[in-house]
Amino acid sequence: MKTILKCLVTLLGMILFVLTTESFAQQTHIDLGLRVQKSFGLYYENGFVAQFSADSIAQQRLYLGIGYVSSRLGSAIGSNAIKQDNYQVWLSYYFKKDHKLQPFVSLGSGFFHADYESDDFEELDQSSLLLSTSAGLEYTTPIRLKVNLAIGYNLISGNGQEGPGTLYPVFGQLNFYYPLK
Amino acid sequence: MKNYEPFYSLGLKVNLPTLLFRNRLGLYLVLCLGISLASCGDPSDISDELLDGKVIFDPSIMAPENYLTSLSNPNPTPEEASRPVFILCHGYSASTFEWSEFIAWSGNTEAYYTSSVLLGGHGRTYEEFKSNSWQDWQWAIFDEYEALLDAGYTNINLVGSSTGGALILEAISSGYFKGKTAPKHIFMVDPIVLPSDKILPLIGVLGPLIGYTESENTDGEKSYWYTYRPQETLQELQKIIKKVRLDLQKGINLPSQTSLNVYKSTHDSSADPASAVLIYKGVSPSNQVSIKMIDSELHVFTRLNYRIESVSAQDRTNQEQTFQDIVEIALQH
Repeated sequence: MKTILKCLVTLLGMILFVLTTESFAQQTHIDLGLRVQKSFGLYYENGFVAQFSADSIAQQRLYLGIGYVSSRLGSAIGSNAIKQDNYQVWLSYYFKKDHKLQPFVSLGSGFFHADYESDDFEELDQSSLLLSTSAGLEYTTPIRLKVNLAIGYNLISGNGQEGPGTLYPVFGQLNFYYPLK
Repeated sequence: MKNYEPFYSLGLKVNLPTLLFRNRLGLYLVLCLGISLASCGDPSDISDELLDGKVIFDPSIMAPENYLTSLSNPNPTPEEASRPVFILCHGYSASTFEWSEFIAWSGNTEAYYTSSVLLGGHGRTYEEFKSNSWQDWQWAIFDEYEALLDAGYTNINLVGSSTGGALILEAISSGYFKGKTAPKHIFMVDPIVLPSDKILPLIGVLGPLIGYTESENTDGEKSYWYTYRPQETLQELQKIIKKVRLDLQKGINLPSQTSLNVYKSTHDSSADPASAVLIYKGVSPSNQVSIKMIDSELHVFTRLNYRIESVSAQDRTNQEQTFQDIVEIALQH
């Protein structure tokens, strides 16, 4: 299983590299935005996201995204919730590009870290690779703001035996993107 | 007869013949729905060898005076009333058996008393288990606590394993002990705040489809733990641990003279070890809280009898040291 995951992450990294190189050689599009993410059964983790696409790649259907979401900007504000950070990269593919409501699917990866704030818990897993899939719908408003709702599944999550206990599998995302370029 | 009216509120317009006969995906969906509905409800046959059945009950129901100090010694002398009493609270779907090894380890000691509480709805038939809420589970603890106070006991200590720990945390958070003599010490073994099975939060959606779950108990465990877990009880479990997690997020204040001692397995397939982190962060004052992480792969590592897992020498040491720790803390302070 771990070998398959490593292969998937490597493949994703190679695609990201190629896409990034190609994007900057062509006419690129950049969306900046905010992400509200909720794990089913745990925290709100909010943060910032950006997406890139190019005219010449998959007719602007393929997007490369990067983001940072954290409970520091969500459930942990003014509470005892665990502070945890997600550094995310993903590839999204949009269907029905000429429609106002566009379905999309994503494959994501990244890095997760939870801060347990005490040496008492040093034996517990606090970090993990992220690997996720998600699907959703995106609506472009008349003011060009894109509103994007998705449901996703973390293929790696905690299970009591291994993995951070606050990394939950099922999550929902609400994203707001504004096209800069 | 189940009422499936809510499905119509989705406003789906389906041509049923087309769905059934011209569309393979539709046929597959109908098949899945059929299997789901067929698997709903309760287990069709519960054998008499199971706790779930109508023959085996928790022995504390028949002879509560053998389990509860409030009944075995209702009129203590002043000296007896000052001895520590441990109210032992088991976890979800378990019974008084979960703490029987502590009682056996204690032997005929006169240094302290034990009160082994059977949580409400537990130790009885599947149907009774199914019909009780987490508040019903908790009331059994309160009944014994109040009975001990009424009898004059002053040195009461709470010991909770797994969901027993969550029920005690909820009691503190909801202010149950305000205006009463507070417990002197609280001990928790593998308290659950975060489940290891991260799908549990979806039980509200999945539960009505599955009806119940079946656990793989050993032959020995079948008389003391439920084999079939009604989805209604899993929803209650999810409600109590969610409430406790949110209470911890806001902060739970211990009564001023009460200490909290948590013992948590580092690898636990039922109560995620990160539960201890949430308790560490959420309970104050911090100088009254002690957390010990125990190198173990067992859930409720103090119960070793009838385990499906092989019990190691380290497991026996963990049990022994934790029992000693609990008793020493209660006797010294």
